[in-house]
Amino acid sequence: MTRDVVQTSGLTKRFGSLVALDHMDLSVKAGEIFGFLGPNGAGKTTTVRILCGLMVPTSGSATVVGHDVAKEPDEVKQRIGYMPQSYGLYDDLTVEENLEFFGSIYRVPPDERRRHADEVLQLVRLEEFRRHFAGQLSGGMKRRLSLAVSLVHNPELLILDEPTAGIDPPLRRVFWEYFRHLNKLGVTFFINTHYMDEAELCDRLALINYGRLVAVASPTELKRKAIGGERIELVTTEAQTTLSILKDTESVREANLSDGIVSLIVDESASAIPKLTSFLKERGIEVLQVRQSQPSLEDVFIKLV
Amino acid sequence: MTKKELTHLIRNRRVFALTLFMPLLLMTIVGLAFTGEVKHITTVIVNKDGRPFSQVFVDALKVSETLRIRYYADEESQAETLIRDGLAKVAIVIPATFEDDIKSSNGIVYVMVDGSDPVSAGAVAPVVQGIALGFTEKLRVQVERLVLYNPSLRYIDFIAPAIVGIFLQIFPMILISMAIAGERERGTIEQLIATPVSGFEILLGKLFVYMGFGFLSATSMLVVAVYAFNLVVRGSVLLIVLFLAVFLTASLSLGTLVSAGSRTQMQAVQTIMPVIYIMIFLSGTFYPIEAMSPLVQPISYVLPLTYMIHALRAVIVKGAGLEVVTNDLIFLSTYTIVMFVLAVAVFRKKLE
Repeated sequence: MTRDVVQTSGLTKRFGSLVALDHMDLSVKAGEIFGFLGPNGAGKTTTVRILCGLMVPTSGSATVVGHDVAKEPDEVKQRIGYMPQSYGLYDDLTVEENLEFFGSIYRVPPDERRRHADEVLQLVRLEEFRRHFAGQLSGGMKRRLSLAVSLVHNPELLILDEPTAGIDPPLRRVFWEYFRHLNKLGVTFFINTHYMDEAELCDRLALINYGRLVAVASPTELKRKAIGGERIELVTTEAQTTLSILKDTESVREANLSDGIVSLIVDESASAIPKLTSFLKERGIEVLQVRQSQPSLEDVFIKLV
Repeated sequence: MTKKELTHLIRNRRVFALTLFMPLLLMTIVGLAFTGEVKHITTVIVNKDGRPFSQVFVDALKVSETLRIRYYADEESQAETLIRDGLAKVAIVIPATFEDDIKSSNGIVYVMVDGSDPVSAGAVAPVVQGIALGFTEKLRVQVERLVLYNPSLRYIDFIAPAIVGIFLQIFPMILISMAIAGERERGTIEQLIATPVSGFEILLGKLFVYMGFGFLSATSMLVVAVYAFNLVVRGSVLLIVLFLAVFLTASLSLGTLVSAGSRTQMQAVQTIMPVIYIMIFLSGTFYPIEAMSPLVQPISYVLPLTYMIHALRAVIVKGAGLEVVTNDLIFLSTYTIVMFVLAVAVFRKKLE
């Protein structure tokens, strides 16, 4: 049985009359990459700040790595890594000194600290820059350093608040390589994002809006949920006939025709495609091309939210 | 924590230069005399004559706005004690033969002034001279000054302890509040409080560094005053260090309190500025508190800087021991403890 690394119940945060979080119930399993997806102002940052013990919820509770954040914040902090949305390292310290400093306040023993600093620097490929001042690094390098700092104490859970915001797509891919690598080593991820392509890469996604949980599922399930099935596109010898035939077929939930392409929504494309192809063939229609078309998460998001 | 703060301080060249050279510069440029109209100087009368004629003279002195006669003593030694303890600034001594002297030839009135306060000392002598001349034209009264502690009446002796006090009030307070507000402004506070380090440790790390800085500044200022301007430190160095430590803690705690209410360094500095002006002008740095309007005097007496300057002047210039500055120490310690507790209380490890 997989353990819950994060478990919240009824988590609520109010800022004056503004309800930033409204009875949020979440559970994140050990070893997964959990995406927290929502538009700006949906309550993503507030949630991670509460999970990291930086902010006190108005009501409700959160258990992180087995400890109640409100009661034992230091236990939690010692075992999780946090990368804030805004870069928050010391510009007037070198790359190495930043790691050394954070290592020391996490009470990592000195020799382990150095060894581990080498490891994380290697991971984020900043070894050559170890003696540079953090303030002199480029935006992307600062982000990498920020990730390295969140790893100095070997956390079992990494909480990342929009880790790739403002980062170009190639570097974003590099970041995801790091995440995958660390995930294989057993680190659980809790990632805030509003990038759809990034959300796509998560094991499970929580969709939130206005401080409320809209849906939690894997990206594929979310898409299925959003359109009520899976979408396939057919190019046949007779588009119009195809449409009229399939419209009344039981396994087809929806059928449309545009630009000579028939698009269908079925429960499950894998079993539906061979069935429909032979069905059409019996009626003398040749299927020229079949395409499984995934809706983008963006469509899903708009549909669900 | 302390190491990191020290690195910040050294790397920030502007602040570091300020730390090293500002005290030197400040002490060097304050070599100027300061004069102004002075009123209500606490005075002790030693009337050894006691006959009606001398009483009339004392009544004439009472009319003066410059003097405020608070004490009457029998002996010069008693008057001297009052001055040494800081209870009076001036003693006017009427010799036993006052009446006879005036009737026969010329009488003499001695004015003993607190040499550590040249502003008062300088103002009193001419005033007494004037009153004496107005008292009897026919019989001349000669006024002599017996300067108690500071024979040359040098301004540096008066101002040096005050400058040390002011500097230690202002700069550590600004620096620590900027250091804390700076963490907030740059967003580093978020990364910092996400670690298990306690707020108390964060605060202590900063306190230690700026405490060290304060001692460094105070030492360099006193060294300049001693070697360049011949300031003589008469009292115990240990006692001075004790006062510096207590006062610095208070100043740094106040800085922490200010930073708690500030989101940016700019806001922190803006909050501090008015406080500083009030402190400088009302603490008796340039102008005796007794001479100020009774309206503002209560403010003077709640400012820690007032007590710090009084104590430093007493210890450095007069060579006073602990017994003389006990009150100052008690006030400052109490204030410091309150400030420190408040500072620790407000320095919470949470984002709002």
